[in-house]
Formats: sequence, structure tokens, C-alpha cells
Amino acid sequence: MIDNYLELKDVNKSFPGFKLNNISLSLPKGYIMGLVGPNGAGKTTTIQLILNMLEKDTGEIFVFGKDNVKNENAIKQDVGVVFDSIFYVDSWTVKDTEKAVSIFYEDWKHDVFSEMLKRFDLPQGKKVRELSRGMQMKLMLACAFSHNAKLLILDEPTSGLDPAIRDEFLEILQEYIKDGERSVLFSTHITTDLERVADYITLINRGELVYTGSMEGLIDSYRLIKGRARDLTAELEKSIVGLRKTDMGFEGLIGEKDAVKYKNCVLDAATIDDIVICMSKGGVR
Amino acid sequence: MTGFLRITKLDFFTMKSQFAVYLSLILIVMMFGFMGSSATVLCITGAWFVALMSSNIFAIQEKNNLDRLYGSVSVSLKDIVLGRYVFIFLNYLISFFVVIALYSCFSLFQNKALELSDIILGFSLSFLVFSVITGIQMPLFFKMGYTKAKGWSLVPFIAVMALVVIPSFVSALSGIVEFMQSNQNALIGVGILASCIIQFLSYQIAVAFYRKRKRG
Repeated sequence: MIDNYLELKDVNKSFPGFKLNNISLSLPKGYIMGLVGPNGAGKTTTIQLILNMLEKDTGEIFVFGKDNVKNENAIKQDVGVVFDSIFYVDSWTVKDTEKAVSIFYEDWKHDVFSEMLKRFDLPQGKKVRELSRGMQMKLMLACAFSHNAKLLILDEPTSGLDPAIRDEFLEILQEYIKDGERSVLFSTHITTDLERVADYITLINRGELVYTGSMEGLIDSYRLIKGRARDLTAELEKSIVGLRKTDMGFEGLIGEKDAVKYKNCVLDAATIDDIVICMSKGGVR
Repeated sequence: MTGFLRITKLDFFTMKSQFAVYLSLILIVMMFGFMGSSATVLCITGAWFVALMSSNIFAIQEKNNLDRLYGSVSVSLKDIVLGRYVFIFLNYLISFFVVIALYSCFSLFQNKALELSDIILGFSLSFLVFSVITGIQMPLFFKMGYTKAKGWSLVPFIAVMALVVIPSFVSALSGIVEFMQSNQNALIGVGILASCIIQFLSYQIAVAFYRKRKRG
């Protein structure tokens, strides 16, 4: 039995001016993992490496326990993909899209696709270019669900969606993993979405892996620290990530272990948003 | 269905909205037919037209992010390239049969005898023209994508025109042309063989270029 649907071990990829460095993560069956980081952190590159759309330099990637390159075709039968923008021909109708995409799947279920269209209120005769951004995202989801994908890989699916549609989308994801047999890797920079649905988090910044593990683990390992200017010692300054100094004082992110040393400062629980913002400002510490 | 055939089928779906453009080939062939052009000229016209249109699939691919679709489904990199080559070749083959059907109609109305050797010669030379043009174009599109390769893709058209015109000016080459004209069977054989070699080499180069592009 496979415990991890997705596993990356020390994956590296270099481009001129950017390097994805030793990325490792594990996504167990039946859970949702958020892949977070500021723009340009390496989230899309990581997803492209998982899908073998880009060739990795070194490292190993296993999907359903199989090497993602050697077993690419078999793996992709069970993987559904949603990107931030639609990747179907804009002159296709919704019906044409089903005809075109279903060619590639042995287990395509027309009934499921029709049911999804009804649920999402997607008219069969409407062209892809006539669909709103939210509707286009739903069409990609309908295709992903119709071949019974066990692993959903979503790259910034909620960016540009209004809050109501985002909420509906998150509900769909929770429903999707309910049977414990499916998993979702969800890349986003809208971290509030993850607080609702993610069980695991992988945080990447400037190509470096900052954290991978449970969501609670990430939130527990950092604190927001605030204090007066005179409290900011050289030692404390070194410990703070994303330090922001003002005339009144300073604020930033500090590791939970370091935080206990500075009881004269104000320490608050950090949100994922706080962590991502501070990390993107201050780099990896 | 094997991977490359799935891509070929997808390419036909992708070009569905463009089929009306292909109808203009019928008009062009009819115009040339009324002017009394030979089967060979009509076949080459058809091949030229298909080669010209072959960049459209790459334009649509780029405009609609279809690389992402190819990357998310069960097909290998070689399947994507081979499927595209098969699609373009089928376009040529369909256009050849359309041209021959129209030419047969003209011959019937004009009480001209339909020579099989003319048709075979037409196939050989048009396939060669098609192969030279698309054989250069396709690897460029796989290497750079439509927008970057658009300008370069005109080079093979110029090269083919030059190959047609140069023998008229260079007397040494006119001997080869005369030899070819007097040995039609050799011309047919050489045309088909050269086309197959060009297509094969072009496919191999396109796979290598596309793989390199995937490495980023």
C-alpha cells in the first residue's frame, strides 16, 4: 500500500538567475498540502518538475510511489491538473473540450463530466473564451474529476477569483478528499485559503525550502515579535526574519525557540500570511 | 490508441475552427485548373499551401497555452512531436487527394487524358516541396515556439523559390534539370526518397530541440 501519493527528495533545478535548491516534501494519501511562497519562489517550477514538464537536474520525484519520469504516462492517468489560466483552445465549446480531453484517459466518465457541468452550471454549448475566469477554473476541475484522478495538482487556481467562488472551490476540494483515497497539492499565495483546507504546508522562498510539514507545525514554529527601538539588540536583529524598523520600534518574525529569550518584547501568534510576508522580505533564516 | 495518434486527433480538434481557411485551397486549385495548369503544378500549389498553413497549429498552441495541456496528459515528448508531424503530413495528403479529385474533374470537362505518371510525378515533387519547407519549419517551431520562429519560418519558402529559379541562371545546373526531365522515374524515386529522409531527420532534430526546451 502506498502511504505517500507524492514524494520529492532533494530536487534541484537551475535556470540562469534562479535555482530551486534541494526541495523535499511528502504528501500522504487523503490530505491536502499547500505549496506556498511569494511570487517567483519556485512553486510553479516545482509543479512543472512533478509533472515532468521540466526536467530536473538532480533528485527524485515519486508519484504514487513510482518514478515520475519512468512511469509518466501511467501516473498521469491518475493525476488531475488545474493551472492559474485555462489551457484549452478558446474556440472549443465545453462539449468540444470533453471530446478533446477524454482522448487521453482510459477511465474517462462522461456521466461524471455531465454531472459536474450541471453542478457547476456550465452550459455545454458555450465557448471557452466566453466563460468567466471562475467558470474556466470549474471546467478544468470538471475535466480533472471526470477521469477519477487520485491526485489533484492545482497551481494558483484561486488567483483572480471572487471570494464567493473561492469559497465554493474550497468546499469542492474538501469534498474531493473526503473518502481518504485522494490527495491535493495546492499552490497559492492566498494563504487564507490554505488555513481553511490544508493539512500540510510546504513553504518555499527564493528557491529554498523553508518548511515542510503539518500546518500547525509551521504556525507553532514562528512568532511575531514587536518591541521598542531600544529593545532591538544586535543578537535579536540577527534572529529576526523580515525585520521592519519604524520610529516607534520594530517588528518581524522570530523562531519559536529564540522567542522565549525576549520576554520584554510583544510576542504574537503568526499566521501563514505573516510568515510568507516576512520570509519574502527577509529571506530564509 | 497510441500516444502520437491521440496528439494527431487533438490537433484536428484544435484546428477545427480553421477548416474554413482550407476551403480557399479549392478556390486556388480551381483558378489554376481553369488556367490549364498541369497536375504537377496543382500538386505543388497544394503542398505550398499546406506548408504555409502548417504554422497555424503552433500559433494556436502558443496562444492557448496548450503546452500545459500536453504536459498534464499521458503522452511522451516524442508522441507530441510525432503526432504533430503525422497531423501536418495528413493535411498534405488530404490536400493532395483534393487536388487530384479537382484535376480529374477538369480533365474530364476539358476532354484531356488523365495520366497516372503525371499524378505520381506530382505527388513526388509536391511531397519534396512540402518536406523541404516543413522539414525546416517544424524543428524551429519546436525549438522557439511560434512567435520567435515566425520570421525564420519564411526562410524555407525563400530557399525553395531559390532552388527553382537558380538553375535557370546557372548553366551547370540546367544539365541536371534536363537529366531529371528525361528520367522521370528517377526523379519520382529521388523525390520520394529525399522527402522521407528529410522528414525523418527533421523529426529527430525537432525531438532534440523540444527536449532541450523542456530542460529550460
